[in-house]
Amino acid sequence: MEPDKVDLHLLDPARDELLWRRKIATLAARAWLHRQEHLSVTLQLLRWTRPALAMAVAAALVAMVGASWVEPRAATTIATEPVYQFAAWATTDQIPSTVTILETFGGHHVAE
Amino acid sequence: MSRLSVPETVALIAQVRAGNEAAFGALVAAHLRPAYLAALAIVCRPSDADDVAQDAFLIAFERLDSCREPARFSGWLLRIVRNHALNWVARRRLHDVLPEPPEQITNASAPTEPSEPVVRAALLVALSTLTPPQREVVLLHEIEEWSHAEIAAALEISEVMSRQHLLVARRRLRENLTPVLPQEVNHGT
Repeated sequence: MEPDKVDLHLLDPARDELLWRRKIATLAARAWLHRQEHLSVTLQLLRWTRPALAMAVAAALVAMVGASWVEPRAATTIATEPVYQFAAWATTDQIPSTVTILETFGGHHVAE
Repeated sequence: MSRLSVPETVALIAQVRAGNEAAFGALVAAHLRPAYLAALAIVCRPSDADDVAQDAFLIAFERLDSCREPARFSGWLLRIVRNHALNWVARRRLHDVLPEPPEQITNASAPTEPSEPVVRAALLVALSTLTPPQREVVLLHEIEEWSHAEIAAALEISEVMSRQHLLVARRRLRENLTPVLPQEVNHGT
């Protein structure tokens, strides 16, 4: 017993015991469901993390191998382009034969 | 209300983590009122305190696995409640809005005894004149009947500070309540 105590019982949320018990039961059910949902989401994420990482690594490897294979081919393609050939002749002072010129531009040499 | 000792709380938390729903109910039953009172100390409105306490409970139980020290569950929970209540106040811009006293309670010479809603409103107005830590201490001590050691542990303050807050809170409550509710103030249990 404390003589100085201020009576605050009217602010007690549990004054109506029945109502309070109902509130606890409702909240407990809600919070439990919420927790289970959260746990299942976390579990799903954890479950999918490893396969997802493995797939990402595999995709990265495929992309790297693909890139290293495509690059030299692209260089070859560029080297056979008419413009490239033309530039090569110009810079090396080459005088190509008629046959070479026709072949470079996709024509055919027909013997007379 | 069911009070739990620290070992009981620790055991319940372990059971909840293991998936025991009944243990979960017991934990809610033991900690909802302190959570409500901590929320009321900040938001100053019973209906808001109710919502804040319930929301904070959902957050707390979602993160229960991150509670590293189950022995300090009360303090951990009340910290979540306090943070949530402060966010609530910031969102609703309640800083400058205090509960208005009903007209009846300003009439100190009223011959009839004030009704419960009037007394309740007067108590809320008187509480709003305190600082949040004073409100928290006085509510947890007078309603939840926590000792100063329990309050100090939960609010992360010293026991001396807890006693100081209670002393000041009681004095201010008396000063504010005596003119409007003389009998109520004198009837402290």
